[in-house]
Amino acid sequence: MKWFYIISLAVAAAMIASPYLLLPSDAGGHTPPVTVGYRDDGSPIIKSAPIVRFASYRSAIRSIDPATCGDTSSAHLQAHFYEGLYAYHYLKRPLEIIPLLAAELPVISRDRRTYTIKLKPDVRYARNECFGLGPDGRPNTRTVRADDFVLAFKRIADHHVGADLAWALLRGRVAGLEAYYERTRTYEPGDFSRYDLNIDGIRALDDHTLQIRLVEPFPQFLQVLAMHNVAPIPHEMVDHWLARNGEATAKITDHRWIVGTGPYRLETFLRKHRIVLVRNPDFRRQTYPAQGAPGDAEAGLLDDAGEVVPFVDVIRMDYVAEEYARWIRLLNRDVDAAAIPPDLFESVVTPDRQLADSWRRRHIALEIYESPITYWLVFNANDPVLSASPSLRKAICLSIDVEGFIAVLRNGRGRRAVNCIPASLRNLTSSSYEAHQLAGQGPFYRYDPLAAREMLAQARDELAAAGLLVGGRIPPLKLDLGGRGNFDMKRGDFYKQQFQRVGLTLQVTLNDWPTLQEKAHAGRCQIFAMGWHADYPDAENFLQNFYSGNIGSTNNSGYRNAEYDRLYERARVMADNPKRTKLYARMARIISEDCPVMMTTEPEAFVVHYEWVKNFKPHPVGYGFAKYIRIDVDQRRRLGGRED
Amino acid sequence: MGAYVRRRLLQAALTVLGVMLLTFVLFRVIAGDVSAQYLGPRATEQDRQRWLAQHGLTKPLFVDTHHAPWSKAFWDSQFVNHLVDSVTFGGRSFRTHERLRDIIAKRGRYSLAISVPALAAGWVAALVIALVVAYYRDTWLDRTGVFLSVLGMCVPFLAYMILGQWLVLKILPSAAWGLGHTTNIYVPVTIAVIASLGHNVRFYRTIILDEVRRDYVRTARAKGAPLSNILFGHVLKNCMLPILTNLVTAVPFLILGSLLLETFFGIPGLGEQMISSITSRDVPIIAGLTFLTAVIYVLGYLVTDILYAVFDPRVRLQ
Amino acid sequence: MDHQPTSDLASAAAGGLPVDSGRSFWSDARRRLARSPTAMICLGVIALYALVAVVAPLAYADWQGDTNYAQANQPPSADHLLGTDTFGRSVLAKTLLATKVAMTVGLVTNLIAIPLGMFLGAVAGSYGRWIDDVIVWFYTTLAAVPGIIRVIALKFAFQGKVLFAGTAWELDLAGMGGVCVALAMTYWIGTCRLVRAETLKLRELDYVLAARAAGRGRLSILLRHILPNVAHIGVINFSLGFVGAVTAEVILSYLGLGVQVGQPSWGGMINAARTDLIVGRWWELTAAVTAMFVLVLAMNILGDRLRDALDPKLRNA
Repeated sequence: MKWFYIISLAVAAAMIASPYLLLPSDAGGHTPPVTVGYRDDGSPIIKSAPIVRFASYRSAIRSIDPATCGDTSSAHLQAHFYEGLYAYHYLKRPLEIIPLLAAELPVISRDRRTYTIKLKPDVRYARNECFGLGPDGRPNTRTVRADDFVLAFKRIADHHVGADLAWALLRGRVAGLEAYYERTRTYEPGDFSRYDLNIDGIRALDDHTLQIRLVEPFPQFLQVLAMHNVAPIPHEMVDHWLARNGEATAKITDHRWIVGTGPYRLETFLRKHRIVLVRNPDFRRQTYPAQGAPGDAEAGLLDDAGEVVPFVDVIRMDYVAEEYARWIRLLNRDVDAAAIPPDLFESVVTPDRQLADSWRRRHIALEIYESPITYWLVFNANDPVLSASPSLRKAICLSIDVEGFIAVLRNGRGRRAVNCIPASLRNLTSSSYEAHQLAGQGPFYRYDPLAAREMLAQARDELAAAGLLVGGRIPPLKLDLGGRGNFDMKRGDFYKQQFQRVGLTLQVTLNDWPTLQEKAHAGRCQIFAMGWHADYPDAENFLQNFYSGNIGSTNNSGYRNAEYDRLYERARVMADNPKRTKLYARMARIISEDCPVMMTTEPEAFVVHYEWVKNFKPHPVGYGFAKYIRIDVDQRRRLGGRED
Repeated sequence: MGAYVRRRLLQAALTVLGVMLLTFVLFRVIAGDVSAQYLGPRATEQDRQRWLAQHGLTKPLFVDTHHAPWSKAFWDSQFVNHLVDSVTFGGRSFRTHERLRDIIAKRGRYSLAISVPALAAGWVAALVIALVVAYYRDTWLDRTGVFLSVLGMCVPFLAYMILGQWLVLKILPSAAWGLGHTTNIYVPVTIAVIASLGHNVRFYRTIILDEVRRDYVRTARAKGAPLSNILFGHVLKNCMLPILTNLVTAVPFLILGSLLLETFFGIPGLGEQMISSITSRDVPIIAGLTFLTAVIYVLGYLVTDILYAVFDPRVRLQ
Repeated sequence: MDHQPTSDLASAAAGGLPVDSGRSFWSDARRRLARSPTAMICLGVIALYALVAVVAPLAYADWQGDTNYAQANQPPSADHLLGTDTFGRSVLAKTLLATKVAMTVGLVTNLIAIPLGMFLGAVAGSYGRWIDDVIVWFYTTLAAVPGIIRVIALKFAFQGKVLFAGTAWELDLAGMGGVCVALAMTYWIGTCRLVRAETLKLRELDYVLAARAAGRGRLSILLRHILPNVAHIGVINFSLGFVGAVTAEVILSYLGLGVQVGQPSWGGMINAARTDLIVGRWWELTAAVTAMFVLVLAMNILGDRLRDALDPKLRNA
């Protein structure tokens, strides 16, 4: 009997100690040495103690394919390894576009429809086995050529790749793109001979010259080229990785298939666990900018002028879903920067928007920045109730206490959006900001519950005339939100309160983000919450959301207004001048008066980082500036931070 | 004995088959068209059809009547493929195209790392407490013990998790989330143990006391044997069977490793995989994991029944 | 302790006339229950909860919009006994209002699950043979899937579906209705098992055999003799199932699959309070947990006493 007890206790003890057997002992792990370059004879230069930057990320990255990149977290990651023709200057404000893979700014024809772009001749891709193996067994590489960009455009216009955002921005603008798209529909996904077809509007004049012809003048085209969606794609990548892949997918879904020119390579990609970016040893020589915006020199942002970038060798990102957990990691010095959880906000930031002393003593610095983002509630233009009663829409706009929302749910971070052009374009593009000011405060984008009730009386009449009242009252309205977390529940609760106070009933449904997008696209939502982050800092990027030609792509309210369309079609081909600014303002005023959407907030971001993180300047629209970040490793070590 | 085992095996097999049918009906038929999740808002009908075809969802449900019953194509239906995928755990995730086998191999260890220690520690702790309480039955110790157990049973599991994490944050913040170090895993393990104590102590105490009230114990005590001898010599042995069977029925939950704990503490195990698959409607993985737990459950019950039959002859003769 | 279904014996033999045969089973049980002070207290507590569930929505009809941003997240004070929430509303009111959700979920779930389980169990037990095999196979299969998974999967499959849309019986499965249906579909199994076992035993009793011999159909035997005698199982399981349903609702709310947004529920409060505790905001979490705890405790104890009063053999089931 005794044996029985002893054995069972031993078994139990073994079971209790089992995690030590089961779990990998490297639950974090050392950073292995990194190849930082190659000598002339081809042997690698290895750095045994790489400089590592630590970060957390919270949403599963949706895309590692430049053509399909359409959301900010994917863009942020992709810009580490993909580069486009142009980019924004890191420091200068107002924003300035500089050549990245292009050698200089494009030569634009007099009719503003032809862009001739010269490429830098010596940009090499990161080594990849798709280029074949060298005599020593290591993968080869080659320089970037103009037809690699042609292929990039073809992939964006390829039906099977399904580029959302990039396609929406380029279709109908570049000659021959639509025709190409239609032709790719007739091919099987695995039949890549479609990439041998020509597109009229995009040609490689020689190995290092690209020529693009537009359908009509497109003043924002250069800014679109400053997005990395048109990163060059070598045909070897398609031949080696995509064509041989059994799944016959046209998209890049495996990190080994990434062939980029950027400062980093994607070494580890465990979507919801860990992402590791390692220095690209084939990256060309690039230096830190020598000029900046006023105030940058004093802030120490020009101290590294002329130094070779990237400074950091390895970037380790761990997936941490919970906001507070990310904060704890910051406190434990496991990461170098984090966003402030809303619950803690008051204890970290003082009312005059400074960092509280206790935090400064921990060698933490605060950055406040705004990006051109606007959030709004969209009214489905095809919904019978909402389209029958403009007064109802206006009443809803008047009944939402946006200031209260910002105060309670966003800790005062942000401001109310007064029209559809965000005020945050102020330091980015002055003419767009002028348009915002000219358009002024929308008559209904303010909080006035009394006026709302009056409007509702009118709304009731309108609905009665259309026979849509239910039991003599305005029918319950439905709101769809795109998220299921705590914040979305509070948001839903908030909107319910607002509606109840003016006597309306609201039903809130929480969806996950893909479901909301699909429902919105299919027109199945009555009211839904959306946001728009500027792809380029021009008011046009916000105004195009209401153009009827974009219904089915970026116009998800279904709004149609002939006068608006006319104004838009005129403005979109105009260069930046006062006439265009006036047109922008007129369009914004139409939206403010018609209320196809309810503008809510323009948020502000508050980020804290340790003082050993240098050259940290958040960029409002651009990505790919991780190469400029420097970590003062000695300071970090002294202050008790992580080594690896 | 043989007949009994054969009968139970047959029942188990039928149940497993039933589970395959259930997962099929529940997740393929009822859950409906999940293509929207994966196609993006601008997909056309053609894209949808292609995606469905790619994932085998346009095949006929049960049998393909266009072919002859003896050809392979006849059996190339959704249901048959589902059966095959279930048995081989070969279902492919809609999201990442990984096979379920590989996911299990990667993540199973994390779930086991929570559940196995929790099971063992919970069992030992509850048994020890129950023995002590039963030894001192009807004294204030016993009454307090029972009282606390009942209280413990009524506190919601989430409260244990939230409170536990809060305590850890105060004492040792780096252990509060995720797997920075292997020892962090003992935080959710401890919470699981404490949460299960109430119910288990009560259960074991009842069994022990039932046994203690039997005649032979009274006789032994009358003969002057000390209670502790009786407890460890006879009572515990006889209690083992119901206790072990209770334990075995908890085995299926080993693999799914407490969904709640994993999602809460950010442990990348199978439970967390289950939740995220449900959120993203990754039907093959949901179906596969459900099937896995069901199979283990059935096996657990089978083992229990056979153990019972081996140790208790009365059962065999039923 | 075997129970004696006395009244039915007399009526079966006498062909229909009810005979007052002294202390019947139910009055006996009631007496035993009444003798236990703890059981009575628990009953009182539950009745109180039920009262609150009905009265609170009427008393706090405007609670939703009664916000006061200046007073947000205040700890308990004289003005607000349990503090205020993110929007400045009274947490006390919220907790009381949430009772409605808990009681409704508990009640409706079991109102569906228990009769269903009892009926199927009785059918399985009394008809026997292939019907029995099918029903047993069905619930064994269903039971093989762990409870949480079942509920989550069902609730998720219900997303966006509306039963009987457009009619008076319209049931939007996204919210509370879906929670109740999903829970009911998993809770009928326990009752079914027990009722079936009991029915198998009852089937062999003399008076039932007598009724069969007298030519009564199986269905009528089921309705008149079996079901009344397994009713006590239903009652016991009702109290246990209630606890299970209330607990499950909390978990569903944590996973975001619970009742509608904006409707106060303890699960929602606990879920929202996850990060609150870390910043020192303990009142919402404590209120919800305590409210739930007391109800669950009362139900558990009552269930225990019921079991003792009705059939102690079920203790280890």
